[in-house]
Amino acid sequence: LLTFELVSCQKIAKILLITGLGFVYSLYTVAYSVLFLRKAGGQVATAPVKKKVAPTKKTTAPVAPAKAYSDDTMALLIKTTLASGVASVLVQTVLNQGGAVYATPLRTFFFFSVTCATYVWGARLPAGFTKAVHPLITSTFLTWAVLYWYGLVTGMGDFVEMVKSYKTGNMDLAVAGAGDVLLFLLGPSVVSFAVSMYSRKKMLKENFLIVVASMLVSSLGALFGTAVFAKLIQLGGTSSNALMLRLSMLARNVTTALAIPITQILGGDVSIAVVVVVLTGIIGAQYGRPLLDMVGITDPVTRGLAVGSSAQGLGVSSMVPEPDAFPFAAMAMTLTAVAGTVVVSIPQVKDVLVSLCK
Amino acid sequence: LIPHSKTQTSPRQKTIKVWVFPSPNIPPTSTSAKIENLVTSDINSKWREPTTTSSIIRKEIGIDLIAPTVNAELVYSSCIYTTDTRHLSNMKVQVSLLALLSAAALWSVDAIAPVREPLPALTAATKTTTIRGGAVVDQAPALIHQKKAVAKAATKKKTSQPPAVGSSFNVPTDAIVGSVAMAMVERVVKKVFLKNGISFPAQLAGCVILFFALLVMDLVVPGSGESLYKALGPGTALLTKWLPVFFVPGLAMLPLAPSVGSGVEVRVAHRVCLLLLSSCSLLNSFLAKRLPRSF
Repeated sequence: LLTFELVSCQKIAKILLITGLGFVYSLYTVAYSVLFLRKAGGQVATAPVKKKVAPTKKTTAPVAPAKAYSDDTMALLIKTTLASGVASVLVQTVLNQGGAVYATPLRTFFFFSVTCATYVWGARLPAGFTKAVHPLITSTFLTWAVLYWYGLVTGMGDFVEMVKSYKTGNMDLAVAGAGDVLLFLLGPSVVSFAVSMYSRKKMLKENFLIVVASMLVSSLGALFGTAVFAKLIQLGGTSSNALMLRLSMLARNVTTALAIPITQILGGDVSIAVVVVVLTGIIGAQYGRPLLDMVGITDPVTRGLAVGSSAQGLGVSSMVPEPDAFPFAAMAMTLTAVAGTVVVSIPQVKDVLVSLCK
Repeated sequence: LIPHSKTQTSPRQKTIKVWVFPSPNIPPTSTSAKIENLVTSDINSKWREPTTTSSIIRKEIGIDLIAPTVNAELVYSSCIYTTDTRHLSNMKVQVSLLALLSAAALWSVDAIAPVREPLPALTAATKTTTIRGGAVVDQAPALIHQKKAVAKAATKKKTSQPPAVGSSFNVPTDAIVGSVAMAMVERVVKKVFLKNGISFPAQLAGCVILFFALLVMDLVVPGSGESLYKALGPGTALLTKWLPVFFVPGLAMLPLAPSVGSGVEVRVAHRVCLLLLSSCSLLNSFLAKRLPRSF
């Protein structure tokens, strides 16, 4: 058993290594190729001079944002959470109305408030803490804790059953959990990227070729680079599922919605791919901007394209404080995903990728 | 009773599909209650309690009728839930991690520079547009401009209402209308795609379609795209403000992911992740203490 644990440990460490290094690789390859093209086009000709004069000023400005959510929002969310929580637990226990029509919507509303409240709370923690632990992680852990506690108090089931009721995959009001509602809201949010992109349409038009180039660098670079690297570090060793495991890593910087079909086409395991995508997103949201600050890249087009194409949706959401970079991040996320899907759909390319992993 | 196929839907639940054929014991006319009883007793007789972990494994049988009679052949699906309570010890790890994280938070408090007040130009906007997304932090002049417009619209509507209680309880109508409009765009795209058998995600397609629609509108009727853009502004601000929260379910569902492999690997993965996470946060809070403004 010990050797077995050691082997699994190694496997997981390698997956984490690919995820982490892969993100850094995608971020910097896209950033530097975009920067190169923009300098060649004369669009950031003044950047090298500026870099020496004011890199610290420029980098600290976007890194230390004010609290993203106001006291009012926090207070409102706490009140809503407490009220709905007490009501929901009472309905389930004292009133014994767990089967009533309104019981599930009430629970859903409670966990919806819990998720929002814990996120806002996590985002309002001291900047040093949020730099170390993304509010998403804080919110997830606290939501898990509340789910577990709720299951214990109401006797609705153990942790796993509670997590299942959190996201049922059904939007029917009588069944839907808070996770379903939140995931539904992700839809219009992604659609709304169009509005942000429109607000910078001039910049997008001026940089159209660069955006296309970054799309190619990020999608092809991630697919082939990850394949070669996974083979290089011998992910999965000689075990029978090594190839499947390696193929599951390739879609790591593609948004979940398209990472699933890409992985299916390649013959990887969807659930591993989703975990890797989520991990990449968290790493990107947490370290994307600081990593760019570290090397003194201040050009908003470069920052947006680099983070958006290397860390998909979560990366885009981390660019909210930089309104000039945000539309580029949104565009990069969409294009990287589309390009990845199209490229993988070509049988010859798919065969090359599979043979690289073998 | 033939165990036909096994599908593992989660590390702790196994679904076994069984085909029930008519026999002297089970005539084709049997009631579903009788068949359920027979299937249950059959599963019970074949059930082997795991020797080492018998105390922490619970068994439940749920039987769903799939098709009552298919050529006198009764098809049932039965479910054996083995509820593994080992995650309770994981829960302990999670709780202790949480304590660790809170300790790191407390420890790093004094090292952090006071949170910057929002720019004076923004304060008016943030106060009136708490929910509608005004509090999204940015210092770019362009968005401040946009926000001012939002704030102006907001103050116009709110002048008749008491501002003290109002700020967070007012319903941000324009933002909600914009959000609903964009949700409709996604719905319509999804329906069209479903009808035509396209498996492309409707969100991304909706984004691209809306973007080009705005551009084309400006070409056809100059200014129309711009006005639609302005109308969708508050909705976009609202959705963008809450965007990161919508990623929580993806993360919260990770315990249900059918793992990299066996149960051992899941536990190892948990441990490695927790270890990495906690060491990362400790290291970071240490760095924050030592080098307050460098990173």
